[in-house]
Amino acid sequence: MKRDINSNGYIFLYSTILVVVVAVLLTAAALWLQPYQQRNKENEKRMMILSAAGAGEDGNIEFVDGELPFYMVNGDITVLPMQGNGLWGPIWGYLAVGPDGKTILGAKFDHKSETPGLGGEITTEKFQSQFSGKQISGKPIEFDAISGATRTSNGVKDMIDSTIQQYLPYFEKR
Amino acid sequence: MNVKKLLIEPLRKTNPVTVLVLGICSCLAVTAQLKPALVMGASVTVVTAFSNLIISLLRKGIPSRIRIIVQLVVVATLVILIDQFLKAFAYDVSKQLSVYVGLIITNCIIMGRLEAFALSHGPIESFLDGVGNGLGYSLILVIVAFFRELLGSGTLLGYQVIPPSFYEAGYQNNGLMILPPMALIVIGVVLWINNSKTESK
Amino acid sequence: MSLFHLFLKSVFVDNMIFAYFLGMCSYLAVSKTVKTSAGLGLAVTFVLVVTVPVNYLINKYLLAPGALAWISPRLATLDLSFLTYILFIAIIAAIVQILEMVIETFTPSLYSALGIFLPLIAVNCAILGCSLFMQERGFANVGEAAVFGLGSGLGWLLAIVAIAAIREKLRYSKIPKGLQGVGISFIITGLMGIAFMAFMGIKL
Repeated sequence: MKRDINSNGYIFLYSTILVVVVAVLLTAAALWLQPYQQRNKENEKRMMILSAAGAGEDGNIEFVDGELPFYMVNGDITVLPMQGNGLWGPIWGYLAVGPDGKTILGAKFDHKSETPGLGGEITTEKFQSQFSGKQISGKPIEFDAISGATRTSNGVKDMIDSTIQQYLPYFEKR
Repeated sequence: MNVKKLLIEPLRKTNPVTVLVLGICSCLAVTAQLKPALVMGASVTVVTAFSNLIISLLRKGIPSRIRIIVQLVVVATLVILIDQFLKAFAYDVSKQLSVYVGLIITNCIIMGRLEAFALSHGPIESFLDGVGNGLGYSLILVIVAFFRELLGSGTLLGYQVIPPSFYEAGYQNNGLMILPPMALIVIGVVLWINNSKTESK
Repeated sequence: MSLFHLFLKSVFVDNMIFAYFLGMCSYLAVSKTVKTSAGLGLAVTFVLVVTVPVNYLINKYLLAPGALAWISPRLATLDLSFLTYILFIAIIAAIVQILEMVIETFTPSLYSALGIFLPLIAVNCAILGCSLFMQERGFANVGEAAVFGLGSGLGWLLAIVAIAAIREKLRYSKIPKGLQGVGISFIITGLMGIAFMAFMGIKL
């Protein structure tokens, strides 16, 4: 009996098998690989927080939960998590504030889908080092945007300023 | 099966970007620098070759009414699996690739070759056709990225190529080159040169 | 942001072609006449208006982290977002297939003019890109997602009709032989892209 590959019954059967095979493949891969991926992601996050704070690889990070969560590195450096929007997708980063509660020690940024060479430059040392030494206050932080990456640069600006605004009461209390 | 034809023609005569007008979107997005262009070119070559292979193997059984969906599902699954594996075992490489994952899935070259070739040819030929077209695409990417990075940032592969003395003499990087519209114009010029050469033969 | 603002932003400031350079392939290949371009533009708009809200619902109730809580609280920790690409694409492909059948039945001339680019709408980076943007931007409700899809589609339509109109007039210009056809289209699109960059700074 020659199967008619265009019959409705066959199409239905084919689609079902395809869906099942793909679902199994992807879910199996996702589940099996998740611990490895998770480990890589956590390691990367750890490195970002430590390097924003200027601490070494074996620095101590303590997560302080609450309405305004943050990370405490080596006991006296506060690292604020930031989240924002770039041109093509989310951008995020960490802002390290020194023990005096005013001076920015460093900033690290990352992105999911910004254009390499344009928005992607926010991950470079050249861009990030601009923020070291700046003071947090009620005023927006001034920095040099990336030529040709206006939206991403604006995204970084909004992200930093809104994060500082959120955490300012916390620093003023200290 | 003419191996040479499958691999050589897409470089010039039937180049997917300049002749078939496919794969333009990613051409604009990843050619601001040479390194991402190389990563993208390699990835597209791998994905086109293997999805061509898979669809060619399946071709006799695919119902024609859902063939587009089947093709898309195969390509998407392949790309996602590659991305997942890289994220687990080669995290740094995956970070570079993750940006392009969406661009690879929707790259018209891959779908175009599946429709035009893999559905009607044997697996080995399809695989080679995939490699050939992937290389043709990579060639254009590299040419465009070469000029955009060189003229736009003075660097190649991240290394400063234009010597500082030029800058001191008044030379400035052409910032416009880094922006996407210039990629289109560079491709247009490449086409111009290409076509003029074929005419004068 | 009001729906009207969102609409205007999607058509001009976030124009799929000139701001994000998505959907170029079919754009460059099909824009030879205004009539075919308008046809393709309308098809793309239709696909966007349907797929973006549908994908919004799928994202909200199935894919996003914690989305499955409406079935049972036990499922609230499940994060199915790794299925995003596959699901979005499957929805898009299904809708395009339906559209293809409709066009073939009602306007066969448009069907043959569009050729391979009709099924390629499914792969059109603009269509998937629009759904992915929608996922990123977190719209408040289905209505906003629909307006975003409509605006993006009309922006794309605007762009493709504009370049088709220019190309039609170009037939009477003296273009160097090497640039004729595809070559000059690339250059014109590049120039239009530079022009549209003017919209980037507008805050609505």
